[in-house]
Amino acid sequence: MLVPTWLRKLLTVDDAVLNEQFTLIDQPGQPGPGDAQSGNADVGGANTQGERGDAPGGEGTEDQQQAADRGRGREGAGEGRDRQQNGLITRPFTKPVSIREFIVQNEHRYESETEAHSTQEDPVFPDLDRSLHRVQELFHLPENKDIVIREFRIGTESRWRAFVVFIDGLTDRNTTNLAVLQPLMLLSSLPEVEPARRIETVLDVLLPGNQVQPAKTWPDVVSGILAGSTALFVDGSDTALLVETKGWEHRTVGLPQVETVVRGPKEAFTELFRANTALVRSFLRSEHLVTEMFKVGRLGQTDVAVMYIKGIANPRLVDEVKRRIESIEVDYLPDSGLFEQFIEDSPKHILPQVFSTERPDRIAHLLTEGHVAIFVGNSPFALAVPVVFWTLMHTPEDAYLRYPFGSFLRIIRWIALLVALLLPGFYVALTNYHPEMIPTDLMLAIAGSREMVPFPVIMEVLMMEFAIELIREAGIRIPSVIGPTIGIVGALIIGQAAVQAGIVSPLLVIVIATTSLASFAIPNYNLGMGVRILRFIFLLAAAVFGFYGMALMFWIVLARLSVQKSFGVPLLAPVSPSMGASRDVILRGPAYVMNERPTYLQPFKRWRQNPETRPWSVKTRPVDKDPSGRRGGKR
Amino acid sequence: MQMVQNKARVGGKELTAAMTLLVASHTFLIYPQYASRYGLEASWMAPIEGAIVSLVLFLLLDALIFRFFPGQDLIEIAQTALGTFGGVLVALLLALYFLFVTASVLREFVENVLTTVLPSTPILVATLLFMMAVGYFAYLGLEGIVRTAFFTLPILLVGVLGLCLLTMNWWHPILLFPILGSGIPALTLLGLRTCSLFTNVLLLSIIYKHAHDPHELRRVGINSTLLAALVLSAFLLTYHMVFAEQSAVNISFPFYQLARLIYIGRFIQRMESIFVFLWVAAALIVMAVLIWGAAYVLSVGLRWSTFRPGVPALTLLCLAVGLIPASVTHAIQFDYRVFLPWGWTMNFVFPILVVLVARMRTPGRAHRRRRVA
Amino acid sequence: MLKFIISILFIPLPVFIYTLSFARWMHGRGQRVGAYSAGVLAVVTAVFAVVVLYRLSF
Repeated sequence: MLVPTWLRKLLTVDDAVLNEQFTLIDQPGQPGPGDAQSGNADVGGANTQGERGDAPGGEGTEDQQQAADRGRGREGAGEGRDRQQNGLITRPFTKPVSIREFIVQNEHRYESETEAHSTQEDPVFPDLDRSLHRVQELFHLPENKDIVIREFRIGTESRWRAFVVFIDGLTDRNTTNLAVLQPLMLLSSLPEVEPARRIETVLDVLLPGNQVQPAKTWPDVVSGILAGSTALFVDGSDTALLVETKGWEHRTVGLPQVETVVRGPKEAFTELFRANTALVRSFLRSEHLVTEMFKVGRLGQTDVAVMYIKGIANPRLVDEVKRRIESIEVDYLPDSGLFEQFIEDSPKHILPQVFSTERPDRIAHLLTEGHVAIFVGNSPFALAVPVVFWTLMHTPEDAYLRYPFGSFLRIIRWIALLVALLLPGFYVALTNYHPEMIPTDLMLAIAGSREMVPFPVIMEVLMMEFAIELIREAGIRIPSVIGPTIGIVGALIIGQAAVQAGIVSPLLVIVIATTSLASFAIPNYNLGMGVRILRFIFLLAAAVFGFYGMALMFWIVLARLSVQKSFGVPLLAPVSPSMGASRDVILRGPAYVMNERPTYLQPFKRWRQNPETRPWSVKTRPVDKDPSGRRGGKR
Repeated sequence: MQMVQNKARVGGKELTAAMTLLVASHTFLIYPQYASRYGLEASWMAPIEGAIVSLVLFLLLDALIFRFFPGQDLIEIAQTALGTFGGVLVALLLALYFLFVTASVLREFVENVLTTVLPSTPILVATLLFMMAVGYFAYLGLEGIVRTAFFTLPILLVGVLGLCLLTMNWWHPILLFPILGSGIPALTLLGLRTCSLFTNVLLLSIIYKHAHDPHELRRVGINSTLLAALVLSAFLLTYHMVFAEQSAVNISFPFYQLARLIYIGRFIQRMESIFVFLWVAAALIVMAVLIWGAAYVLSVGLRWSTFRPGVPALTLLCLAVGLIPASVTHAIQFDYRVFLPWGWTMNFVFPILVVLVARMRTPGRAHRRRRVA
Repeated sequence: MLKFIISILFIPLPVFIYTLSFARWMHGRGQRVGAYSAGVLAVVTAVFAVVVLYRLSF
């Protein structure tokens, strides 16, 4: 009889029934893995029974197997000491270690290892073999396949032993070949010098790399290699040379994705730390522009650059930024978005206190005002501190257009902010609590459109808001191949079908659509997020207490904002507390009269341009109230 | 969160805004009715007269403080001259005064809200909600309050002046005659009683140390007094141009009645709900300033380490006191019988008295201090 | 009655406890006047609040 394979498989019992999936957590009350293993061992296809017994977890599996192998493999490198002391290897059938204990034991090892990596007094050995051994140990060779160690001899006749270490993929192949290996191996004829001074010769005459840095300690060497440099060790020298050979794959400088403009530069930061700082420098060519570097992270270090203009930015601000950066204690800092949370004043607050942008021109401009810019690793968003609320509502285009247009755009945006924040709440309050405010015709229209709708207004609004939020979120997460579909589906469901089915009223669709349009007009993404959430709070306040609730909520939010500080500067400065400032806060003033830097930053130079910026024009000449004082003020 | 503790530092402009609001908010309360009742057609003169008297007294107080006790606030003056006990006494009196004023403002305000926009809400719920917001404001401290006040003042000015102008089609200037209303003696008395509204002076003598520049005290006092008097006067003027005095004296919530009247075409009409934003904002600021003031004088007088933990209790106390009167009529009686006729003694007589007594008790010290200063 | 008890639980009680702990805190810092006055404030507030709630509930 012909039985299909799948059916036969379904009806036969074989070893597969014993197969269990890998679990990282051991179950409490599990008998010792020693006896549990014997059953499991045949199934897993393990190599040796003894090894299986070693595995500490309840389920002896391949991962743990590998861990055990690794332990053995490293014995030579002094890695397997702990395990040996615990008798894990020598005595196969002892009481097993629970995974928790296993973790605790290894945690200590991890800590001591990272400690060892970061100790400053850990000099490079003159003995080449020891150095080679140390490199292998530090980078966990031979398991680690990314690290390339190339041993060779320098020079055509004298033949000093040497090796280079670099990470495959992080370095530029051509540079390593042509600027490091080739000159050393083929093009050099050397005088015989004492071994300790060989490295100087190499540095002075043999290496044509444009950035070569001697490193005397292992931590320096390691971080150099990890940053894409090629490390060169020469026999007999207690110094390694780090040749700059960075050249990993990255996105080129492209168009801004979030902060687009019609008029103005169209470059955005990219995922390359150095390219980002250079972009700012290319906009702002000043020798006073200072970039200070920090490294954050114990496990993987992330470069953090603090950029400011010396002589303008207040040094107390710069010091505070540095203090906050230096006190960050994390294993790994992947992006400026996370970094923000480590340095901002109140991370729990719903509105951002750090300005993030992807536009180098924006950063350049903020720097000239006296802000401090921060670049975090390979994040394509740079940060600027301190930030005031008003800056979050500006776009660079306001400045690039002529000022009446800039002001117009800002007015639109301020209205958009209010609409995005309050309109749904306003609608709910109006229809529920204050219908007398609506002119009679309009009220009849609203009532007519709501006649078919079976839900209370707040229900209706919440449903629609949820749908819109869904479209927003899905629109971002959706694979771009099927992206265009979402618009059609969303528009159809919300625009047409929901109304026709009598689930929502057409007027509400207009309200919600306007709100979501308005929320897209908010230029800062973080602020937009905050507004999205606040909108729901206002909606609830309006649903429960009408205008009364909304008004209370509005002033509470405002009061909370007014005591919030960003790096010592009140978030609502310079409006409240009112400080003297140029007219670049709520509206945009003419470029030729905005002569002073914002005072809330306490910059060292108050004037950024001569009060008389258009001396040839009689019309725009400033009215000099106190000529001597004005001139004197240009310190 | 950056905590704003006892050493808040605020700018003169924001302080002016808060102090102006403190007085101008009486536009929404019972004062217009009171003024109409005693001043009839000429009630709009009362705020101006009150402001002038207040300014004279304020300048006197200011001069006294700067002459004899420069750099000290009222409680500290009482403490240095009258000892801890004197300080406690003055602080308690002030705190009680602030509490009662807050409670009366609270009750009138909430009754207004309930009758106008939330007719079916229980009074406890509306009051509690409001007091929670007030408590939060006061808890944030002076900086938060005055900075918010700085945003609120323009809205209040636009709102009140807008209200005055939007009722233009109802104006009947003839209703303002006879120009002297209830006659000069009655008007004078009303003007003096209007001084009770100018709590800003008393509060300023306590908090002026928190200004960036304490010498701004005088300017803040003058500006806020004049601005507030202007608002009150403009409102009363409009009110009396719209309503004849027979009806004017009987309207319990003049601001609301005026707002209801707005009818500029079909579309701009019945704006009173919009004014809820205005009332809420002004009332929040006023009561927060007063509660903060009460907590602050207690913390200085009773030597608390900080004013902050006292705020919830004071807020709750204020809520309880505000809810004691059985009805709004009883609540208004407090204003009619106590606050408006006698508030000026607390506002002016009391601080001047404290300073004078302190001066008499410490002649030598004050002189020395002056020379040092 | 239930309304009364619930409103007491939610309004004056937390404030009372908070203010008492404020008084204790100041007592711990050796500020006797402050501690006593805060204690008195707590009691006065609680009494007023309870009386008002009682009147509103019945």
